Amino acid sequence: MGSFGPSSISWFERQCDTLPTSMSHDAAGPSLQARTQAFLREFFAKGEQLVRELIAENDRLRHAVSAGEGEAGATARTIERLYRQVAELEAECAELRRTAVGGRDSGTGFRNRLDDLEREHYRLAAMYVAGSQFHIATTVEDVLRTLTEILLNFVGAGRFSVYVVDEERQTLFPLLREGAELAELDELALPGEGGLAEVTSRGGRWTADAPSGAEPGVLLQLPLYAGTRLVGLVRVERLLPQKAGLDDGDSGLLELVSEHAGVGIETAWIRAHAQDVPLSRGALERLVGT
Amino acid sequence: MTQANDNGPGGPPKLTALVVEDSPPMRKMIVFALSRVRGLTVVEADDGVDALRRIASTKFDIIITDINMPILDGLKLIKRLRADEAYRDVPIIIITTEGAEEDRQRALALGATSYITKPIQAPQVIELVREVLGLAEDRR
Repeated sequence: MGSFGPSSISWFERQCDTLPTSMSHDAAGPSLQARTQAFLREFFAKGEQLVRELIAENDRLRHAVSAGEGEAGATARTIERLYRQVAELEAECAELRRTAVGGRDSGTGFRNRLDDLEREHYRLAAMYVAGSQFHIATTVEDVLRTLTEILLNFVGAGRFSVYVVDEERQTLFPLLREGAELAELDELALPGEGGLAEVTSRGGRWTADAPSGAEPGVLLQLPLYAGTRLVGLVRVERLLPQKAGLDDGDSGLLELVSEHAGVGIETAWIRAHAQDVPLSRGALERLVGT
Repeated sequence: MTQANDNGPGGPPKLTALVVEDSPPMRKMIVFALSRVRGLTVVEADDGVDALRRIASTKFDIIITDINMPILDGLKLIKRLRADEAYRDVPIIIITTEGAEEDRQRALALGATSYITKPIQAPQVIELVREVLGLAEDRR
């Protein structure tokens, strides 16, 4: 398109200008020369017109190309800006994800901590209830009932037996059995052997870190102490089917039973053989030394 | 035993539960567990007869009862409650042992809503009561 321009138009204009402006006529009409000149004039005029149109089209196309190049540039810049924004948003999104994960971890941590506290809360509540029940038991029967309820319903022991010491004969005799027949059990001689000897000779309440006294058919043996006096023994033979094993909460309860049940039995024994004496100020003051 | 109820406007609904259990340690643990359910007031009964006496003066929203109790056991209590128009649809949760499948089936046939198996776990008791009453988790 660069071959057309004002010089092209001038050339056509010059050619037109060189042609005579009036035609000579002869008798038969315009002469051949006149017709040729008219033809050439018309030819160059059309050529001039064509060149003008070509130039105009050329200008229009140039403008269009220029505008297209401008639009393409703007579009490129827009795309580049959008890419940057997308990258920024992706970075922000990644940061938000990291924050969310951190928040979730933190929330999970708090939730686990809360669950731990709740479990500890219930463990302490169970120990409080068990302890208070032993303290209000005034008879051996009350103590044994409380002992049974704690082992059966709190710890989940499905089969167990309770022996009490016959101090004169130095034996443990079976007094109660849950989950099987009491009559199946024999007396146990003190101090015994193996696991029995381990727990009856320790001189104090059962603790989770001490030997459990496990024997064939016996999961653990729980000595019942009143201070250092051996009062009885609990043999846990089997847990309830739904109870998978003993946990820390159960150990706490077993330690409590080992101590409080022993004191409970001794206290109930003394109460059962005590003389019924009315409370009196003088007697109480002598007891406390005031 | 009655728990304080600190509901404010828009707070959890005020509901009352009756725990029927002849074993004091069990009863205390269940009451303790339910005291963690916001909006729930808990009343205790020693056995079925004591429960009927309390039901005569209070309308309960849920009843948790043992099965094996002296005088009036849990099965008879459920039967009496379901015959009462006021307690026809009130949720009843029974406390059973794992081996007492027959008692459990009889209780469910009589109209018990659900059951808890001994040894009880406080969180499970709370979860079941919340589920039966349609309460959202909200720890005290």
